[in-house]
Amino acid sequence: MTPPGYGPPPGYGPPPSGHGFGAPVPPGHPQSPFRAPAAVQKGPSAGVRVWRAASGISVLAVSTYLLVEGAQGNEAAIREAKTSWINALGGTLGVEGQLMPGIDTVRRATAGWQAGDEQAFEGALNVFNSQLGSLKTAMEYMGEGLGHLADAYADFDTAVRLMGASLIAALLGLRVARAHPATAAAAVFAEARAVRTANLAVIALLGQLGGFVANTAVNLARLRSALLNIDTALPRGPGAIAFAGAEIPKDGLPPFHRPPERAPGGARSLPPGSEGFDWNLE
Amino acid sequence: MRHIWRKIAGVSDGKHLSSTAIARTAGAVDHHLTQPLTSYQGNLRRQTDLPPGAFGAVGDLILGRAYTEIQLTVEKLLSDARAVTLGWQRDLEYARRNWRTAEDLAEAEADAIGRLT
Repeated sequence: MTPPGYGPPPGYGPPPSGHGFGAPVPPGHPQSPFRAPAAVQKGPSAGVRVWRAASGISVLAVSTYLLVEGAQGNEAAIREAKTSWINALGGTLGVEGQLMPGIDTVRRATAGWQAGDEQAFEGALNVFNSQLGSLKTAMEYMGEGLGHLADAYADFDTAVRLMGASLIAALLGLRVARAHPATAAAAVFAEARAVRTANLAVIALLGQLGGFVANTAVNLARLRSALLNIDTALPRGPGAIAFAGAEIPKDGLPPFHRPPERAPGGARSLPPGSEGFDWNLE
Repeated sequence: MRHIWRKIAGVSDGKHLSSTAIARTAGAVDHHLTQPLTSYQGNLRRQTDLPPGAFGAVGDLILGRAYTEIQLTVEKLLSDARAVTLGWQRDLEYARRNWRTAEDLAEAEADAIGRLT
């Protein structure tokens, strides 16, 4: 019986295996939460192709084509990595604020063990649970950031493609004017002006994209220092994570101490201090 | 004679209740925490790695390093988590052996009292 809130969201089918984490599923398995290895993008994006065509018509567009090609990201690969951060890793670790499914299974396995050492172990489980929840939030935060980044690259590509398409239309129109001696001189000026306008617009877009990418880099660095507790916490998002606090406290709990070596032929004995511990045996 | 029957009946005789539960707990920690964490840690890089040029030739220069550092940080945190669950497994194994000793000592004492009365 799965407690409410631990099951998969409706419409996602059963979890990879039974309750909780279950045995790990190999990444190649159809039920694996991991995506297939990153797909390689097929050739340049639409924006790059359009500008390549434009630079074939007018030499003046070549420098912009090179800029566009240098800025173009692999949107599909970024979106796939986003899915991995959010679903495959974060999703299986559970939901922050709730008990992780695997931790719940461990807690239920302690039934029948009732003494002070069990309380200490349960405390360690709770600390571990909250740290794992923070790690999961960090992974989601990472995925969110990548999603915004993929959007930015997609928007940039769309805008650049539209601009390049209208430039090509203008250049093709000017070709006719160039063919006639009466308008040839004016057409050369018009071509230079059209390309210059488009170049300036692309450079403005590049500035926007570059600013966004630089902001994202700053945010990633901040996320890292917040996770490692190097710097102050983020205004929003996950905070410091320290799993070391989830170790079982052993002071005053002799059951967790290493059992004394058994002398040859001697009887088994308990660690020192065991007389003072309430073993709770009838 | 009684303890022979207990041995035949297995460990669920009521005398080894705690040590049995601790052994079960250690098994659950291994199967439900340590093993998945090991698997995530091993898969993280491969699943989140981006092909070269994913942020563009220029974007890679700006973002590539920060992205790799996050990957390494999360990998380290997963490895910390795994170290903690492995420590639990060691502590629980000690606890199981100690409890087993304590249970057997208590049973021997009870048998001795039973023989006297």
